[in-house]
Amino acid sequence: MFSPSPFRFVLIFGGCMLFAFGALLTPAVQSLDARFSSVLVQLSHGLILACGGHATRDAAILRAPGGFGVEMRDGCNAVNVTILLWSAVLAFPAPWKMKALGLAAGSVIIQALNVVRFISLFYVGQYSIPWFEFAHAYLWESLLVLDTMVVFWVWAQRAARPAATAHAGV
Amino acid sequence: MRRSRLAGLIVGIAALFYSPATALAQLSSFGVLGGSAITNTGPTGVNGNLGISPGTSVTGFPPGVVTAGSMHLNDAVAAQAQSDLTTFYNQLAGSPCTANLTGQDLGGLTLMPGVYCFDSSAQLTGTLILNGAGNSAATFIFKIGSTLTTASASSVSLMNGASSCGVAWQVGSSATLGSGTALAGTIAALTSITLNTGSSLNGRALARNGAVTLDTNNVSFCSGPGLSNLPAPPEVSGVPTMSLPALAGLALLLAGLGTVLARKAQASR
Repeated sequence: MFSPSPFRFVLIFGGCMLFAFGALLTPAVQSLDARFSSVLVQLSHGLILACGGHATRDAAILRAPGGFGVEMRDGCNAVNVTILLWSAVLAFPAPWKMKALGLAAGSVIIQALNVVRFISLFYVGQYSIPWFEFAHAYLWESLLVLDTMVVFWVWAQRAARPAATAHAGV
Repeated sequence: MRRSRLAGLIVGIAALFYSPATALAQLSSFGVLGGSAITNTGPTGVNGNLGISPGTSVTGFPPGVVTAGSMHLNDAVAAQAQSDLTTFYNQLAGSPCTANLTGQDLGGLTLMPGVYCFDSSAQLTGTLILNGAGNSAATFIFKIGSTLTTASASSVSLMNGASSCGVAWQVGSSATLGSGTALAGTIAALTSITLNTGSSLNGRALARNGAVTLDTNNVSFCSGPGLSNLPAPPEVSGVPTMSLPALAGLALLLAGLGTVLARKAQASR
């Protein structure tokens, strides 16, 4: 029923990526993207306050009492990483129910990790700028790559199972 | 040799265009800038430009007069000044505090150069003395979480080299100067600014979103180095999720992993 052709996977994966990143360049989607970033900063701000921390929020900027601030600019909200995961999930041969599960769970996991990343960078930056640069440029980037790969791998293993079983019965 | 001179010239010009002084040059020429409306009653004098953006409503000029400047009603100059004001406001908001004065009245205090913070509102009743310690470039920044209010006949006194050019008030909501108040410095308010009857401002009244309300006032900005001599706060850092090479790498890894897993699923068919 589901053709697990590797060629088909690459084709759909590339197509989905091109479509989604292309859509991200349109003003309508960019406006939604900016609003989403603002919501993530609100969420981060709320979490910091709920845990007894101190921060002020000005639009997409989270600022510490000492003056240090982090801004969730374009490309900081992990939408690009989510697009890659979605493309891979949509391209992989699996039932649509499994794909929906992969899209939803994958998005939640990546976005949750990105909020943790944003808050942690906010605190690391107040402590040390060199550490902030390291954590931002290397540590979190590697962790997000790893996270996305693991999420896709775990999902694909589960998604391939019913398809393989169904084909085995033929 | 020639090439290095040329490179130096290019870098110099680029630096000039990107210096904070240039970024705030447009704003420095404004005595009054509003976001939604500017309303005046009585013979107010504004020294410097008077502008509004994105609103267009300016009333009370005349009897109010604008000297050494002109009126900009939601034109490109006013829009640029509003954009500069956002930058300026954020710069002030990002300045690290040297002292927190929350709950204290500014009246009766003598302050040395520094950044003074108020978590919520700030009140001035009486005279605030700013001591420049002999430095004409001394800066005094007041970061106020919500409102700035002055009682009638309050004042800011500058001594020992302090200049109104080096005084800035970053107000989280609105500023209201009581009747007869004589304030020094640039007010950068997120919402509105009200100068009650007879108050004077040796500085600028700059409102980002709301109105500026005037009533028989004198607003004259300093002729010193303008807004650019205020200390630059720490930069706000953007935190992109991934660099472009990392994103491309992740795409390749996913493509590779997906291909392997798809092939595996095909083989198990």
